[in-house]
Amino acid sequence: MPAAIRIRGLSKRYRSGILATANLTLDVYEGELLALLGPNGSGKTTLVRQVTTEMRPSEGSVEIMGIDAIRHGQRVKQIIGVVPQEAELFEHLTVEQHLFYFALFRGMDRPGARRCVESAIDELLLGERRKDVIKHLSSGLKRRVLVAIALLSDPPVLVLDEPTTGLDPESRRALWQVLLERKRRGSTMILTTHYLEEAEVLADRIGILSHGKLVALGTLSELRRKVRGSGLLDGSEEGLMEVYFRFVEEKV
Amino acid sequence: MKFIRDVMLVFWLYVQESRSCIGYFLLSAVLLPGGLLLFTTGVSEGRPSLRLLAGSMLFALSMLSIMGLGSTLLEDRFRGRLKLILMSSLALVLWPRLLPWRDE
Repeated sequence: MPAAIRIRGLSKRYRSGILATANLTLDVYEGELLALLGPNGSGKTTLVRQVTTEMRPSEGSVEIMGIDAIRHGQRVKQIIGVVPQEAELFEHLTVEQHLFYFALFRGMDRPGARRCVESAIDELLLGERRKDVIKHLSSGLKRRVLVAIALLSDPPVLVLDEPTTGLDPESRRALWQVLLERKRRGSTMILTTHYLEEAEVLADRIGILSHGKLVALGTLSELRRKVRGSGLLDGSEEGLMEVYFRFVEEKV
Repeated sequence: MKFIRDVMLVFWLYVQESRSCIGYFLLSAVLLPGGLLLFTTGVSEGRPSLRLLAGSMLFALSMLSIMGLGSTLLEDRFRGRLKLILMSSLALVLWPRLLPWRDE
């Protein structure tokens, strides 16, 4: 299967000397959802920021659909949708206005933007709240609007940085349905999360980051096999929780 | 041209966002210099000058605009709104210069 995202030897050293990501190499295949797990400060967001062209890596390369994300960031932005971890919306604009403006930013003409807005509103079930200003929405709905913005123009690659953090179980499940539907339609996704059950439900493969290094990468059953092979766990159906802690504690 | 279109879009986005506080903005541009003028005419013996009042209002409007723009930029940078705009595919000429955190 061809790789939609190719990351090679990616490192980021901050001016303070902290090495946030260390020589990361991985492929995310077309139509795949890769979940990135790891404790706070493990480098998940730094990796995402480098992939989305927001941050320039110290070393290494990132290619999205064959385009060099470091040299041609502008072209890459046209084919990716990003849900940043910390982004607030404009409080006095309505849901519809947000989607319309961001569709125009993506270079669409007005009729095209209106069509995209309708489709995003339908997909994210925002129809009843389309005329509401953002300050009157719950945090779950605000996250849904952020996801809707990322989905405008139907990008083939989606990067979601902890999209469900702080959401109640119902809102989280509603977002999962959206992501599963996107996956069914062939989108390639990178999802960072702290919710292990989210990774279990959504991800085709799971990557575990610790201290800026990719300490594990594979399907859940592959990771289980690795843990079992290390002799540290002997059960046949260890949950992702046990597997995760084994890798993060670097006992595998 | 995408550059001009993007500038106009960002401008309209912020006009829409700040519509609710435009009244306070204009009011403070009148009240502040008006109050100052009353105070100065109160403590001096001269007659109030309309030119001085108009000049003060213009000055207040400019100062408030600059302060408003500065605080909006700072607020949006730390609240992530600026990032949201920059992660859209803005015209190439705009985005690299507007990313102060690219190489932290």
